[in-house]
Amino acid sequence: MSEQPKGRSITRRTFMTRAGKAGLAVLGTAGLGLGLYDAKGPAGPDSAALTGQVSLPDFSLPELAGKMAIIKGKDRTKSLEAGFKALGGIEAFIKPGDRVLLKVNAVIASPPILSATTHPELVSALIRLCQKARAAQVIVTDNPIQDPATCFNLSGIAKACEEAGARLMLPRPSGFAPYSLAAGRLIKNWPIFYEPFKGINKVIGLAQAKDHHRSGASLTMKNWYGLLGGQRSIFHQDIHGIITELALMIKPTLVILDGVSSMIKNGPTGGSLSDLKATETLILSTDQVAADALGAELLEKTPAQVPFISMAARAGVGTADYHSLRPIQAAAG
Amino acid sequence: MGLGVFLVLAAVGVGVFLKQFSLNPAVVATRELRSAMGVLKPEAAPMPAPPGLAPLGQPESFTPENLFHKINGKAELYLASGFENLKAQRYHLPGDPASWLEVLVYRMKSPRAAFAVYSQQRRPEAKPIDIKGFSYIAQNALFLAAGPFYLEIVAAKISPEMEKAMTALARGFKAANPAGPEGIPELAWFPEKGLLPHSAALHMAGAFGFEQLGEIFTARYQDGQAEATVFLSRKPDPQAAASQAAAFEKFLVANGGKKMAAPSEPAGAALIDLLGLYELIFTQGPILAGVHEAGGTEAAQELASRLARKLKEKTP
Amino acid sequence: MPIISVRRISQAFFLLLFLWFCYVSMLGEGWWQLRGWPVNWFLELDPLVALVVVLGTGTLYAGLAWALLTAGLTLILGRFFCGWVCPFGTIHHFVGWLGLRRKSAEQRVAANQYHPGQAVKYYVLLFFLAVAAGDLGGRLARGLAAGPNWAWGITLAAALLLAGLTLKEIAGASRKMLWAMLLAFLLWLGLGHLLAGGGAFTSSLLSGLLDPLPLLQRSVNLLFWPLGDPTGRGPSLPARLYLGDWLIAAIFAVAVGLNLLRPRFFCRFICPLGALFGLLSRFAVWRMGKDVEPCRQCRLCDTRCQGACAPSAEHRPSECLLCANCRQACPDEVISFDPASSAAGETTSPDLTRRGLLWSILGGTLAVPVLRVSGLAREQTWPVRPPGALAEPEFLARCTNCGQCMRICPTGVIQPAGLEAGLESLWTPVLNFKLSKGGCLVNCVACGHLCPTAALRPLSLSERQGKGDFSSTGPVRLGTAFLDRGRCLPWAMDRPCIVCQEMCPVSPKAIFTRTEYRTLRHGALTVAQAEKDDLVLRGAAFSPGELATGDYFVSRQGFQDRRAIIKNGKDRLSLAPGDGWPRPLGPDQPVEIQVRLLLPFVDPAACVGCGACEHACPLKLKSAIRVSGENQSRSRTSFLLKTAGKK
Repeated sequence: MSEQPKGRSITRRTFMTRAGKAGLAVLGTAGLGLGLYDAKGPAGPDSAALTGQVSLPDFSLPELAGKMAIIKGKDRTKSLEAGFKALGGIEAFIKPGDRVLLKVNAVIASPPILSATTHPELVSALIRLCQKARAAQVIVTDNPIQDPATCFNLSGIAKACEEAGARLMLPRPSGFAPYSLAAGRLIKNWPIFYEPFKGINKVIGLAQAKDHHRSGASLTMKNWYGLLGGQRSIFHQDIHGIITELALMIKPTLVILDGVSSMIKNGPTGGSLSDLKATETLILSTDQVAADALGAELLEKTPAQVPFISMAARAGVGTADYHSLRPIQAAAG
Repeated sequence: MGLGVFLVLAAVGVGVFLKQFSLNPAVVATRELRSAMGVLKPEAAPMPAPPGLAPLGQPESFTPENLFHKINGKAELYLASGFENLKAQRYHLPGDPASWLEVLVYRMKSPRAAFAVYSQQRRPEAKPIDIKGFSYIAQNALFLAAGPFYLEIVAAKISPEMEKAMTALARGFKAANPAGPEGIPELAWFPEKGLLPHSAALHMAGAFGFEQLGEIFTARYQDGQAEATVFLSRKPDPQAAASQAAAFEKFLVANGGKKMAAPSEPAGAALIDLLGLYELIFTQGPILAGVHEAGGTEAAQELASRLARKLKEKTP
Repeated sequence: MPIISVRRISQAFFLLLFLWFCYVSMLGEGWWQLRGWPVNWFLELDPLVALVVVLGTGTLYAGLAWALLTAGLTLILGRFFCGWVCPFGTIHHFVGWLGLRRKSAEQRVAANQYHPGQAVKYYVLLFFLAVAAGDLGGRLARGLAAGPNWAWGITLAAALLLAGLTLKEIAGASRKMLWAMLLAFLLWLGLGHLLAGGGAFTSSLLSGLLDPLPLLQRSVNLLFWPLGDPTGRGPSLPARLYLGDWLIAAIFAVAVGLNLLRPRFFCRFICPLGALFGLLSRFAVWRMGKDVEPCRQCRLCDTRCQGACAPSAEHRPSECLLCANCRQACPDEVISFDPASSAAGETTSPDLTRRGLLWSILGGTLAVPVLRVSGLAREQTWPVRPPGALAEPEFLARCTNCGQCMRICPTGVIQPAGLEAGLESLWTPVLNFKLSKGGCLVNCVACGHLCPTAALRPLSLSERQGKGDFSSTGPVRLGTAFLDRGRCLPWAMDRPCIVCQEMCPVSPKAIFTRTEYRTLRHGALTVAQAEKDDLVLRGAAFSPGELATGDYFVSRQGFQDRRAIIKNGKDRLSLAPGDGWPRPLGPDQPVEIQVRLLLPFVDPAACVGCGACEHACPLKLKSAIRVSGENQSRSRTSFLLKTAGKK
């Protein structure tokens, strides 16, 4: 059976489709390639890998420098929300996908009513706000002087984390790494609790306003003491120096000073409700020195009693004249 | 279609050719390293490829800083004598890479400096070769001093072809650098009787173990069994000669020499007994001269007198 | 000019260009040396290299962008690279031609018939891609979790589209298959996210083992040039020696030899790059094919076909190498390069089975964890790699085993690792100080500038030496030298040495010495006779001059002072003139002949692991000081010191 010889032809349509597919494939490949193009190549090991020491980035937001809110009120949650509202909302600080570290004060195993530790209600409220801002993760941490698990449990902070859905990071020996403050004298090659900082891009300090026997007051700058490891008690010999250096070491996104109930005497451990005063003030600030200056006033301290504030101001951490920042004052229910 | 492809190939060729002008950062970053390893830029080979020889490997170049890398401890001799640079290149007989030789061209600061390193390294088994001037061949190596250059040709294999090639190479070099012994008048100042041929040498610094004794010509003499060295050196002026003579004398005494009674001639000479051998030092105008390690005082005096007479004759 | 002549010229051109690039890869500014010759161009043109680097690192590094050109042209024209450019292909083409020269037409047709085994190269390709994509699921998932990001989203969409289209074409139009693959993809994404960071699903680069361009580069660099070196005419004057060359030679020989079995055996059956080109040619606008069907069926086209793509029957464009031999051979000129499909029909997809697909992809994905879990690439065994090497997991995700670093290294200290380092590390660069001509020179940064994929980063001299901008991070450390005191001459054998300390190139030196005086084995003797500077010892039997090197001393037993020996006979010593003994020695007094030893020690804070010491050590069979990977800059866990020696 003979067949009619077949020719070879292509319709214009087929040709255009084929050319189109090829063209699309070329564009797709080129686009993908150029989108992933990396002229520089991989970076070398970070300085931590090379020097054996870790470094801490600057977590502050330049566009929010010198912002302060002073909220009067008895309810911590409401005051916190009012405070953020005054500063542009939580969204101004926390962006979607951010990984946030909350440094709380869980120094001793003390119940919340004694105001020796950060109040769990404040912790919950802040965690919820961060989640509202669609943070990818919230980590809560501190390095207490007593057994960490007990401290976090009895202070109520562990429960707050669990309920609000944040990760509580307890200190462990492998979580410490040596750090040197470039301009420092005391924090040189000293172990700090570095593990919580890995992968973090926002840091918020939550401090409780307390009288302090040795340093005069324990406010937002002294709060970072909890990140020191090793034999950190020796720094008490130069307490104001170490507080200044701590404030240089950490440049947080925001600090929150809880003066809703302040420990005005027998601090930092207190122990009796009579040590407390209902100063009903919550301070949110991007300037640690300013926050502490106001905090010292709440605690009825004279500047001479809290020399670390002027030392930190001189070192360039911030300004002790908080009025100059024109803090927004508001009242919450 | 074919044309299009050829255009593409041509474009590739042109592109590659243009690209090679912008040096790879590795090449730039390792310049210092490569000069330390002695690799020369291609334009500056030590000499044009000699006839009958093909280059083997790359030419090398060394400065006073890295001369040590090439000749190790020997570098001190060259550095003390006014070394400027060394260019080295290996060659081989065409078709026979195993018959290779290395040419080392030392550029010294002056013909005298070249003569100094040439003469101080003269091998005892030296055989003369048919090249005018300072040259000899010793087993597998040929040595030549011409102009400010000191040439060493070292062969990996000894064969008649190799010797022919080496000689031709040296001859070519000499032709390019004709300056020879006539440029060094001091060599003619040594008295002839008893002079061991080709024993004249020049020490640019540190002669006889004494730091300050420089630019000293020495020659060895033999009288029967006894050997001695005669030395002379032209100093800038009579005062310099006298002070160096005195310094040398002091040096000898400090090292165990005992000064003896001054000999009758030459005038003003000092005679020192150094552990059984005798040193005689005298000056004649700006010339410092004497005898070194003579076996006896008579021998020393005799040589010194003849030297003094010859000097008077040669240097009015 | 006939098209095949143009093709032959093109093949010759690129083969010679390739060999030229291999030849000039030596440091120097002469025209026959590196200068600025783009010696990595062929590796950069290779889309397989680019693809596995993109899969493994998420970036397309610098020069690898050339691969977009090759891929783009292949998408439009088909497998032109295989037939017109690939230097390895040219070699196979030639040897295949040799093999077929005396064969009859029937034998040739049989040799060039399509074989189902030609699907194997696609499995090989998919295996390598899966190995490289091990971490991709995790990275994509993490990227997703970071929130909507336009650029990232477009990239992901494009990737999915291309992957989906390709897989659809491979698998045919089966809908069930498509759903199964989508499910598998999601599973892989999820698994990757869960397990990422745990080190189980990570990327590695194994394609360099069979990718023709790295393979040929490696064979020429490590095998052929070194063969020429000892004649004095090779490219490197100090001859190069490479361990494990036999394996490289064997693979090359087998690959080329197989052409005698079937022409272009490697290209048809094994080459993963050819497989990638085969997939990319899916949408090619032009293809070879018959203009008329039926034709004379003389099968002359089949006698010359290089790709075994059946030009006389149903054509397979994914196998066609565009060699144009069929067009040239056809007596009726009915074969041409045209947008229309061949009149005899066309099969567009390779014959891949579902099972084959599954095994190759699964095998690849699981290969890396299996290799890693078996401990061959764990952190504890990080080898000493050239300066600029990335941390081991990142390094293995980029190194294509091309051997360029080994070729350019001026001392030949970079060697290809053997099988003992595991399959992942096979032929990756490691340092072997004993085989080198001087260790890893501290003022050289050549290797990183020749690495096409940045497995070795290009360093500046300042970064390598820790100077200038890099003085706070310190020098790049490759490892640390450790003294083997049981072998070291001064330590174990009372022989002065310290060549290691002399050769240590860093400043201050990392090797320092402490002086110790030891009494010789037969050195406790008594004085027979003593003068001011001469001693005769009873019962001594030294070789004349043995003690005259300046390292030997006479010490009086029980006293701290000692005097240097400047000459000695069998039992006679001359001491250096000086102040002499405070109390002269008398007969029968005991003395000790001591050797002054400078004992070397290594300071890990200063040692950069360059191996100059290991190279210089006179113990040739096994150095008494050896560098191992502790404290290397690229590994945090290998640290010896808390502050890793930064001053």
